[in-house]
Amino acid sequence: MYILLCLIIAFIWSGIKIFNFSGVEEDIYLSDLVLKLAFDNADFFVGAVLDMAIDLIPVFLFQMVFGMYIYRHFCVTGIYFFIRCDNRKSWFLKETFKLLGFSHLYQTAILIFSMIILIFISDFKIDMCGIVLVLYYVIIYSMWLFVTCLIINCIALKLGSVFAYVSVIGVQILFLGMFNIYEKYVSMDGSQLLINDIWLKLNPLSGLVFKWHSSLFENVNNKINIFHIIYDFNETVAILCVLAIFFVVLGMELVKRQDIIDENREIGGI
Amino acid sequence: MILEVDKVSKKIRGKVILSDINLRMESGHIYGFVGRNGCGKTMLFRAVSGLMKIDKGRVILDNKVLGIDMTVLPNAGIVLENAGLYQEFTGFKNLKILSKLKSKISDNDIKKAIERVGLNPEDKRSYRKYSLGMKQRIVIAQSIMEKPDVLFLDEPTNALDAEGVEEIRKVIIEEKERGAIVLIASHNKEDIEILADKVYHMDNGKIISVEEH
Repeated sequence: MYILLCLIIAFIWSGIKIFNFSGVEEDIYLSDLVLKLAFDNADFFVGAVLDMAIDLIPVFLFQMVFGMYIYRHFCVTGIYFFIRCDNRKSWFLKETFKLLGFSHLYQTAILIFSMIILIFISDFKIDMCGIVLVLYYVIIYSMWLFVTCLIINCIALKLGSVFAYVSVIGVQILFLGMFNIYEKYVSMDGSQLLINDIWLKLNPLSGLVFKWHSSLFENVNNKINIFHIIYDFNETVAILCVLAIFFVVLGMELVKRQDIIDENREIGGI
Repeated sequence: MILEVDKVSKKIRGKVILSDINLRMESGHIYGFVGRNGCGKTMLFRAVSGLMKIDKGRVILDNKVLGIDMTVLPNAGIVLENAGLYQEFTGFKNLKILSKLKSKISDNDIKKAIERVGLNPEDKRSYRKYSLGMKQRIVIAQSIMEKPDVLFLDEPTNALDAEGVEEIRKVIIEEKERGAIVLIASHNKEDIEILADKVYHMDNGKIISVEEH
């Protein structure tokens, strides 16, 4: 059921995003597609921030489906589940690997469905720059989904599902809204950031905006890096990996220590 | 098989839930636990099964200590009030999902357990559409399907009609005869009188008296 949901949402979202390419007569490259999927419309004025909120819909949808993936076992069925589970840490680790798999499946599916649609409606071409961007897109976006879903599951364990969803989705919207603060710190022509780039990097959502990043590959760097800063993709990957490891370890400790007291009447979502 | 509870105590948010509980239970016996609501019967089951950590004392099963040699009792079945199954799945599917955690029984064993409690394993209705009595029966089926060594039953005849009560009492006696250690908590005096070999009266988290039947 989870695989089917991933594929359905990915297919629908691909169709919506690719609609923007319809009517384009020039060749469309793989790099164009990836940048389209990775917030190519990102900017700091209010209208652009609202557009970015819409582009976060597939992220929120995945989080809504998988935010309870692990926590659901601690809900009303928890007693009957954990009486049979003698090693919760090992069980949790297996579940996180499955969650990581679903995250990758989802992002890859969005990409593949988009490519298939583009092949039918345009002159779609694969470029080397696109191949590099595809790798970063799958890794960064799937790790973002994985980490945020893990956080939702961990918070839900302690504070319930409603608080978990509201806090994690709410924080993402808050970070998105904070982009509007940078509006006055960009040059008139939009090509220069007038503050230290650390302030951009501190906003976790910046990690999803590819055109703000830089790359060691020159042809890739020429296509992105609109502010001409050093904001390597590998930095974002490293931060997400560290966060993933942290929350996996935290989650293992939380599930190990969790007393199964059946006052939890939640049914655990899907 | 001997299950010992040695000076077990537990507090939650400063409130004493269990206080200095001592028990010694053997295979092939049924132990009844009675007391008013909130006296600690259900919490005792959670603590002894390993679902809830204890603050003091030990739970020992055949010389293995809970929390040291094992996280939960290795082959225990449990039925607790207010605990349910996955709403969207049938009774059989629910038990199949749970059985995969240990992978030691077949689909046939699951079906037999469901039939023993008077339900139809081919029933296509989801758990959320079950009546209260059916829900009670299916959770009892999940507790016995893996032939547990220790069986915890909290109000096992709740929501059952007279025929259902007789069926479930018969199942409990069969489990005792199979050699399980059976613990029953019940407000139903008749259940305790008919089934229990020994009865522990609890109040405020303590065992206040013991009665042999």
